Amino acid sequence: MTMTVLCAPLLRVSGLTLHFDDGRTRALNGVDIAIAQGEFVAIVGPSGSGKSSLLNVLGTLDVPTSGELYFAEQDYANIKDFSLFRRTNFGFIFQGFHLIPTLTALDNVIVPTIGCAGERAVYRARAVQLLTDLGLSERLQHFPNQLSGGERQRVAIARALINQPRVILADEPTGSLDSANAVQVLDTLTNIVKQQGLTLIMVTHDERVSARADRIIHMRDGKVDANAGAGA
Amino acid sequence: MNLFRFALDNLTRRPARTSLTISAIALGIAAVVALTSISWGFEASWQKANDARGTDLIVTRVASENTMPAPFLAEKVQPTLAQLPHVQAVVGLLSEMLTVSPDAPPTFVFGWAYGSYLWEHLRLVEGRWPHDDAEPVVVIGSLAAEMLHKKIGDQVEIEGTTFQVVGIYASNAVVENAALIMTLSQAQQVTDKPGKVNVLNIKVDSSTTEADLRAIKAQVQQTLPGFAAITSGELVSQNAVVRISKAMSNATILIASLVGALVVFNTMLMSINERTREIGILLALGWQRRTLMGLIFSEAMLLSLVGGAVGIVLGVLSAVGLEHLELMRGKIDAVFSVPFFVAVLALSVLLGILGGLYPALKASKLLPSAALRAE
Amino acid sequence: MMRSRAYLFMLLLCGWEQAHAATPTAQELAAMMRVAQYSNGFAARMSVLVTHPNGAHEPPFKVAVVGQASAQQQRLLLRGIEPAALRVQRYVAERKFAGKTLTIRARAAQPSGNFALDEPLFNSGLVLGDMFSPWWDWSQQTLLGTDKVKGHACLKVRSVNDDVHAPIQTVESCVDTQAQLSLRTRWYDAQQVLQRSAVVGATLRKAEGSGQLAKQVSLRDATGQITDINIYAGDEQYQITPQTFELLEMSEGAR
Repeated sequence: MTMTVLCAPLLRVSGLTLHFDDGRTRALNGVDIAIAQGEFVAIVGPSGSGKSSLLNVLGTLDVPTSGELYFAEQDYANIKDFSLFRRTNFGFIFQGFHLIPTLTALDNVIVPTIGCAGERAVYRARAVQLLTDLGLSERLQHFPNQLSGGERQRVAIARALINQPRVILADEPTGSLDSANAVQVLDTLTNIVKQQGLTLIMVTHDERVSARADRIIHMRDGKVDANAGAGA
Repeated sequence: MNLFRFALDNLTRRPARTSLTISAIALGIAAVVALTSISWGFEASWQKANDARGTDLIVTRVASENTMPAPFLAEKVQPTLAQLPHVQAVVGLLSEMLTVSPDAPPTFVFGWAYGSYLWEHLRLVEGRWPHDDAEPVVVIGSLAAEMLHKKIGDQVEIEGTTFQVVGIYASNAVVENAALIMTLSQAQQVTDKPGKVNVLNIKVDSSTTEADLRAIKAQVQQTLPGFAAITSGELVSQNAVVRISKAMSNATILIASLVGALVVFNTMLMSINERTREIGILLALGWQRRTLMGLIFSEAMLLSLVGGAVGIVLGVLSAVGLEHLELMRGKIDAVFSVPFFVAVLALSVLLGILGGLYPALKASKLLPSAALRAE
Repeated sequence: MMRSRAYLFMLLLCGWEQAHAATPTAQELAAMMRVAQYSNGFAARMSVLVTHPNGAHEPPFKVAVVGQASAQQQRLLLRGIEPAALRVQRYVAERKFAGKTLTIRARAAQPSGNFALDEPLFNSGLVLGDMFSPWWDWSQQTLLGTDKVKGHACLKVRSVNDDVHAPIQTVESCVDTQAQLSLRTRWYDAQQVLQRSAVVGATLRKAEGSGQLAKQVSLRDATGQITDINIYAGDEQYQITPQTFELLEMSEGAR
């Protein structure tokens, strides 16, 4: 299922490096990839291979040490407001859910819209719709500690979708779930992504997850492992 | 949901931490309220004493920066004052702060001209007034009676002279309630100041205007060199004891404010530190830095507003409580006012905003990935 | 005593700033201190607390000092106030100058008719003779430089007694020239052994004129007994009457 040529990639990076501690730790060591609109890409590799770092840099959560990044042919170097850029283009899903414990499921979904222009009621309606679509219509006013792991991750998915992004960045979204819940969450996520034509970039350990991806990028020592990819 | 609701939820859903923070702020503010109201009350009590006596103007020696205005011979000044327009009465008063009991702090001993209007505002609780100018007796304020453990018929030794307690009175002014009063001539005798007073009280008639009072003051200055006529408020503001207490209360307000600011500051900083990951999430979700600062500011405002309000209530309660404490009886008469409360509340919010500023700036500068990694 | 008048004039003429700006000579300082004492009448009431060298306190008592001072005459009355038993104790003394001749008279109402001016009274460190500050009249005055007493700068002066037989031969004062007040005074005998000392703890601004008055004084004698004096009331314009010092005029028999 490997795509050979990407005519107009949505995301394109080249020579990407990310160093910490004055270069003693090299999380990314020259990464070149291109990802198309609507593609589901799984990033796999051993721990410490740079999977999460790559996701963070793509999502502007981290600033790369060097390299070029383009989103829809826009150079990251020219972006003035990263918050706005992140909010309009990316939705994040984390392994540990990262919900705000003091807020209800509904409010957690609304949080990313705080500070956005527009009617609050519209955002609220959209959040309710998303949660209903994800089968949580009975859980709107529950707090995270009153929800199961699977439910929490579905709330996180709704939160990632609230600002109608073009790309979903998911870091081990099923890592904290049992296999039944993992399958359910994955089904939900991939269905929505397919329906809405979104790009999904997912870091995972799980071969059952990566098996569903359009493409698998193998990482090793902060680089894309081309040989492993060819072998898969 | 909006930013304010978010901030409110953050506080109400963490009741333990929020109530701790509010208590800390409240304590700082309570200290400011209690100490300020007590020191203002001290000042006001002096004025009350003069107002209650029906005194419109007070004549003393000028340049008396000491605790008590310097004594002077009444007969040299009194006739001149009595002839001024609108003046109804000129009454001499001699006061000294004396130890009358080895186990009580120094007490005010007043000598008031016998039969003068000064006595009229006192309410006799028990016993009687002195029969005549020469009777060696004292009447004592209700609080002084309590503090000195004296009742009618008891004797007090004042400057080596024995006086019998014949009456116990009550006054609106704490200063007077905690004092002993004898006739002026008795006071002059016991303090070895024959013919002397340290204050002449002037009562004017009801037709007197503010302009007339100013004219009297000017005339005193012209005709009686070395003397000044002032209103009771002016006397109080010049009093050394009042000035010292004011300086002390200002220092206390400053210290309490600094402590309050530190508490708010520290609390906000801790709160931001322990929520670093939450801030990382918000940044990852695309929150603008100014939205984040808005959240932190809102929380600081809410905390300091509630803390300030609780602090005001606590401060009032502790000032009133101190008033009723045996040890403090008669020394405290706290005054409160709405503008003062508003000012204190404003101070509290200002401190909250200042306290929230640094943590807000610090939080908004975090790199989202670093914040997310924090524990 | 014309000299001291002259100094007073000089101080007035020069204006305070000028007189103060330059360090006065020892003689000028002594003259200033003499003039600072002048009064038509004053009274001070004080509470006195005696502490023995072992730390034990006597019950506090109150005494009054009434006085009058001019270039020609100094008179003092020291009387007990409280407890009532002390009220019978009265000591009166006078220093009178006639030309260059100084005559001193001292009388007591209780316990005996005569007392020595340098005798401690009321079983305390109170010495009536010291209240005259007679050393400012002595002819030998020497400046010893500056010092500090409880943080206040002062000018040290040594006064040497003209009477070589007197028990006190030297007095060292440390004068705050602005306050016109000696902040610390030390009395020495002929062998330069410290007999007693006085340190001013707190001061009070004079109601009239410049200068300050002592409010708290701590006296210490050669045995280490400490007498703490707190002046709690005063009258800088006390009305002296013929009766005030009448004790001086009473003969031994009449008393």
